[in-house]
Amino acid sequence: MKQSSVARFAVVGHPNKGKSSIVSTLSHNDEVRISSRSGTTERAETIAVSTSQGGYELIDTPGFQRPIKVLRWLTKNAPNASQRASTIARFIADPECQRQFPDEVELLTPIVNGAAILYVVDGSRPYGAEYEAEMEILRWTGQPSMALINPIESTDYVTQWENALSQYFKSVRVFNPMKAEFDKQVALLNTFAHLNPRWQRTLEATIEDMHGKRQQQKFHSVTLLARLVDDLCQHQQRQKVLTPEQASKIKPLLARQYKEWMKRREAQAVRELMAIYGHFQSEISVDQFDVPPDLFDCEQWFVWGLNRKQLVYAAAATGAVSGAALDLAVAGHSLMLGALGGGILGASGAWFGADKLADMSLQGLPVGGYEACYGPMKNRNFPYVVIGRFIHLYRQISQRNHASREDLLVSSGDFQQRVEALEDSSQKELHQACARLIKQKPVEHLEAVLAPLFD
Amino acid sequence: MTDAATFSIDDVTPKSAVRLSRPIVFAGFFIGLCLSFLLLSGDEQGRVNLLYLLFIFLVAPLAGLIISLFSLISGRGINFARLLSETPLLGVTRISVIRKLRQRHLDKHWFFLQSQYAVLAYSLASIITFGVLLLITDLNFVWRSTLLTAEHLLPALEVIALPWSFWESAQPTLALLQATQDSRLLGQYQAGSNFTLWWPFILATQLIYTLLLRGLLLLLSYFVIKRRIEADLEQQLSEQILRHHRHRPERYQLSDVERQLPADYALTNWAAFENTLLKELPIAVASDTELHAGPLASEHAQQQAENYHGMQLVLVKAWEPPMAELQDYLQHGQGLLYPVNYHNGRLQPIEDKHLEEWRRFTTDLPDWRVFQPDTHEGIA
Repeated sequence: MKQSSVARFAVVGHPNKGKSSIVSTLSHNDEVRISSRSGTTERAETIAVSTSQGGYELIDTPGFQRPIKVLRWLTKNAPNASQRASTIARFIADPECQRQFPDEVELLTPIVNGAAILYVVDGSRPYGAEYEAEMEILRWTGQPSMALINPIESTDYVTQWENALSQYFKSVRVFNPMKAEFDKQVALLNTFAHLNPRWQRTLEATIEDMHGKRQQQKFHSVTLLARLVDDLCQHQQRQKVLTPEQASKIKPLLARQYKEWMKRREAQAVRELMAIYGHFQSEISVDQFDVPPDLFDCEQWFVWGLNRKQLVYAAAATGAVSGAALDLAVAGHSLMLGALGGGILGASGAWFGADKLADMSLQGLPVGGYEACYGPMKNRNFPYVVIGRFIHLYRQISQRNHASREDLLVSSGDFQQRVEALEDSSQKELHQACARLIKQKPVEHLEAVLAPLFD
Repeated sequence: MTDAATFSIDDVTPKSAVRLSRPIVFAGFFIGLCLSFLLLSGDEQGRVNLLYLLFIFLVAPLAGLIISLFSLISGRGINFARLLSETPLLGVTRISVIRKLRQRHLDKHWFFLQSQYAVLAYSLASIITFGVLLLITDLNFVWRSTLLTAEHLLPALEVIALPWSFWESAQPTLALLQATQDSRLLGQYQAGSNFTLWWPFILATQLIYTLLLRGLLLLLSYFVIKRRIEADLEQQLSEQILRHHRHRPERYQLSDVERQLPADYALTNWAAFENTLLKELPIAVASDTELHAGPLASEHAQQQAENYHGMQLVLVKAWEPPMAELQDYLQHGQGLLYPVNYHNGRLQPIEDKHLEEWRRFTTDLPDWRVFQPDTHEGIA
């Protein structure tokens, strides 16, 4: 058996027990083909996970297809226990075996070449004695091994499997590739490190890199949100027209184009967010996760963004800040009436203007004619709505496993509590930034303002 | 140039980020044209002040360059283009690419690039004006100063002319300086031809200090912006999204499901179900012929079963995918496959996905069909 400093794991087992799902989740790669049809994986495929300091390889293998016959061949050709590993090597090199047992040759080859064994079973279905042949074959290889119980539908038979597997494998773990969060994946990698002492240092470095990458992904998500909310708050749909009458005629068209643009822009940000986390196979439609589906449903904004009370508080806070600046400018001669007045004005504006959306304006052009302009959005809650929706998605996508190919379904979440939980200074910065955004003013260091919401 | 009306969802691209802004370039060209014409026209005798020319062709562009470079590195990027963009008439601030660049902290680089375009346009306009006026009128270059003498000026002009030291006729000389010093009071000229000799020096100043220098800076800023946009997060993500194609949903042919058992068949308990479970099956297990095949059967029993050529009803675990060893066995006979589902010892209806898998499996086996009883009496 060959020895390598790169940790290599052959994921083996019965067909359709989630081998490819485990490879996909542990490699953070959703390009790995996962199918409900058995026998999808016909060739062993190596998925390399490389990080700056380390990395490892996962080998997705075809399932056992003729384990009984293979074990018979091995038993016939191995005179004693000391020659079992070499018999396996002979088995994979034998042209007749390659023809008769292509799947077993394919799955055993990486093991013979030094890969550790990750044997996968389904913990939601009862144990069967027919599995013993394949476990016996794996034992013959003499390679370090671990059994993973994948509770595909339930955990009903996990104990039964544990009892059986512990007789063949030193280490048995329950791992659901569809639901395992990042921490559980890391914990499993830590266990892998104990399979072969030569791999321990590399795997530890890899885990450290993975934590670093996780931080970087969060930082990139914040950047995406900062750009998204800036774009959506600034966007205007323009059209040159000859007369004001013509402008009023095209208003519905402009409004539709405006809304479509906004929705497309949001969908693009979600696709990019998924790409940050390496998800390329899930279908994303903003309409699918937007319940109710319309971004412009003002009533829902109090669910996705701030509620009316929070909104009034935010407006009062930012109004008071502007008023305080006035007080400062007149060196306190206003007896702090600026701050008070600004606060009251802001709060009442937020209360009464809570249903205000974008509207159309008309501007004369120097060369003649007019420019009809739909937008930008005037509603104070709008930036919060955009932020709230994005953060809710972020939380799901960042925890989503690469084996999961189901479409995203999202409902409103805990954004309001998140805002409440922010420190006072962070909360104030957020409100000030949103107030500037809705006035189409650039916000310096918007990423830094939004970052605490991602913690 | 893209404005908000035509701005697509696609992000700013390396190409769009370095595209010139026509209003800014036009403004540069216009200023260059007016200023050059104004100064080069001179007075009624065609006298043009050399020091004024040096101011607009050398000092002003160089000072602008120093300020914009310093501001680019340390400040918010104040330069010619930024100042022009504040003019609402030009509509520059409406260009959505600026917003995109601001989001990427590249807006000051963009204004710096546009400044280079503008100064190049300014320089081009000046050179054209200069060339045209040289052709169609007599330009007499003089210099005047209350404090400076020809000896004072010469070293400065020699430093300025260093880059084109190979160009003999464009070099300043003491004799030329002395010969072209003008006094509006005295107004005595010995040799008129001397006054035209400054034109190569002026042209070289324009070519080197404005055209060439700004051209180099334009290229530099052009590539910096392009490279940074190419390396930008969203650009990288878009490329990744384009590279990854979604897998197409799988479609398979499925065989029909048989609901009736034949009158005579042999029962093959491939899954080795226990007798208690067999009794629960909603079929009449009246078959006298029972075959032993499957992973747990002996080699001899398996051989016997393979030699049987009559109809068989093969019991398999519904949730276990069909394996090649079953397929090998089925090649020898004919009949029905009965996938049985149970949980905690109780029969359960087969799940659709499992039934589909068995139906797909039997499409490759012409002598076999999947069997499922019509009613599952007693099945929860």
